[in-house]
Amino acid sequence: MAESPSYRVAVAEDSGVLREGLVQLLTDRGHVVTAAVGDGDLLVRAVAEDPPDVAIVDVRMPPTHTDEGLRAALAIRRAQPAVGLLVFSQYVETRYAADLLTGGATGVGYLLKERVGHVREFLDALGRVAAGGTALDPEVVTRLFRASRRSEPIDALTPREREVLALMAEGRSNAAIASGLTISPRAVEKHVAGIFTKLDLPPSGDDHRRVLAVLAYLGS
Amino acid sequence: MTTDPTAVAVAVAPAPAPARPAALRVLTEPFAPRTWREAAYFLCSYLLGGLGLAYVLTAASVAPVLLIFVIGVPLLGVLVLGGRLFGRAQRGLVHALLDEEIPAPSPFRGKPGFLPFVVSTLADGVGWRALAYQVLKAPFVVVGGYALIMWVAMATILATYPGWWALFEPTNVDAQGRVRQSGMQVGDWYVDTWPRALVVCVGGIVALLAAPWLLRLIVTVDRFLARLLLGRSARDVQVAHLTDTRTRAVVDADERLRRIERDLHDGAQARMAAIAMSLGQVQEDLADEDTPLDRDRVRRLVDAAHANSMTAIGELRDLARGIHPPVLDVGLPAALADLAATSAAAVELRLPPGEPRFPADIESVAWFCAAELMANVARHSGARRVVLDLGVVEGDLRLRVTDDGHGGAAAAPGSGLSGLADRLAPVDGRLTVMSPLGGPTAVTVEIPLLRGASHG
Repeated sequence: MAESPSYRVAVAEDSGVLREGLVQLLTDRGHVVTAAVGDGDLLVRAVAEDPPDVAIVDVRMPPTHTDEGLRAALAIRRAQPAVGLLVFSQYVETRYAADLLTGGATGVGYLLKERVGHVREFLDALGRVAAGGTALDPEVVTRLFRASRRSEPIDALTPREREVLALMAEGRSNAAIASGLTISPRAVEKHVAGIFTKLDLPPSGDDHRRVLAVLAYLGS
Repeated sequence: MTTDPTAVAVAVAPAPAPARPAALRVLTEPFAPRTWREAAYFLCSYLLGGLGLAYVLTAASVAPVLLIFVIGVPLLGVLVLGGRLFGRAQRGLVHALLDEEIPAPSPFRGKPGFLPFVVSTLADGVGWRALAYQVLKAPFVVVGGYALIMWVAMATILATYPGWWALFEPTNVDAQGRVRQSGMQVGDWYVDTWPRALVVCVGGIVALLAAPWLLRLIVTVDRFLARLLLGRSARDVQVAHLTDTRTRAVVDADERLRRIERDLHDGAQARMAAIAMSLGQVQEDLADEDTPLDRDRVRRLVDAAHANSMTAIGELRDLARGIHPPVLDVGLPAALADLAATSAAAVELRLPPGEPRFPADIESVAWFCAAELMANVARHSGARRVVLDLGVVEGDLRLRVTDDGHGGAAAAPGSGLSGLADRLAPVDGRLTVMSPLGGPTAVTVEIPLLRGASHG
């Protein structure tokens, strides 16, 4: 196995089985688990004491089992914007994703829990979030696409441009998009430029524009 | 018909009312606050009754004229609806002065369309009942009330007789032409001496002391009529009962679904994700051809996945059994025997002979209650012996769980017992909890086997 960078990770997951499994998986892959806790408050405290590269957060945790994980994630974002957030959810909840991305889509991931079954994808997502990118579950992206009816600039995109944008939202690089859609990297660049123009995004750092495009796409 | 049937009856001893000596009460009653409130109510009701009666009489006299002209028919409907206003005012009086809440009848809902609307105004039972109230109260409140006012006036004159007799020294002339120093006479009994004046005075005072009771009689009749005719009809009560039980059924079903979702989320779903995670790692390890396979690691991951899958199967089975236990298909007694067998406490089963079957929904609710009660016993009571008694009593399926624990159970909102009451409401079931501190606790669940037979 190729040497991959080691990240410092905090885990908040109320199911003991899953938490232990995650810790085991992360440790096995050479990452350092700074904290493994069962609710949002504990996570916020642990992250404040020992800031990790990424916090993995389950959306539903005690005491109310609704969205305390998400609220903890938002609190961490406000207090320590440098900490990457990888939010895990049993279901696709577009509002949660939108809340999470409102403050900017840097270092943010939103994945379905079952994604941990695809270890490679999960670790890729972790790496992207740690590096300040986005990692949205394909399912989340599909749902958000359906949910964002009102943003008209999006309607101007061609179907191919939309596909490219969807993959951008998942956090893929141009090279990954090219291989995913089996088109040339050159074609991808053309589509990305088309997207930027149609969404009327001012020229700036390419990464930042990508984030803005994703946000426009999410309709937030 | 103003009380809603409730599903929960928890035995509570009523506080004893302080007793006042009867003789003392006779003297103090005219000054009791209750008397004054009743007097105020009576006066208002008297005036409102006069207005109401005038309204009804006017309506009755113009009705034939209105009926001749087609245009008058809708007006007649408006007159019927007007009865509701009187009813509302009267309920307000009863509430403000007699401190009794007469539940308001359902509001008027006209059918859409002009003609159906007019018909529904004419057929408005609440309006008609309110008009009937105005008519029926007339003899008691208007006529009786007039008599009462005269009574009090006369009694006051008599009670103060010595005063004004001495002050004004009235005179009159008797049959024999003699001049008498009296202000009144009964036959040829002239009240012209101090002893006689005092007798009249005492008579007046007695009449005044009696007035509160006459007042109470009139107010009681009035209040009875108001309850009967201005409150909810039997149908309203039934509708309210059905609405209430339906709401509880919906809420209960919703809560149950939430609980199932939670159980799945915390249990099987999490385990499945953990299994996927373990197997995913094994998959990765197997796919990585460059690194020699770490057999211990793979064994550990597969063992974890296996253990989690076994646990998930068990959790799913328990969950499914909680939703609908398969043994219930055999019958309630068998299901209860099954329940008793899995209990930690020693359970004495008392089942009806011959494995009888009951309607499926009733068996299901009864089983749920039994399971919940047994769980409560295990959780809270500290009991060592439990009696689970099932029988049919007077057309009800009766389930009773008695334990020798420390008691003190109550059907507080949000508790397991009130959850049972919600579960029982749609089948008109009743829950009775007898649980003195120190025990024993007996919880009885009764479900009518013939629907609608338990209340009317």
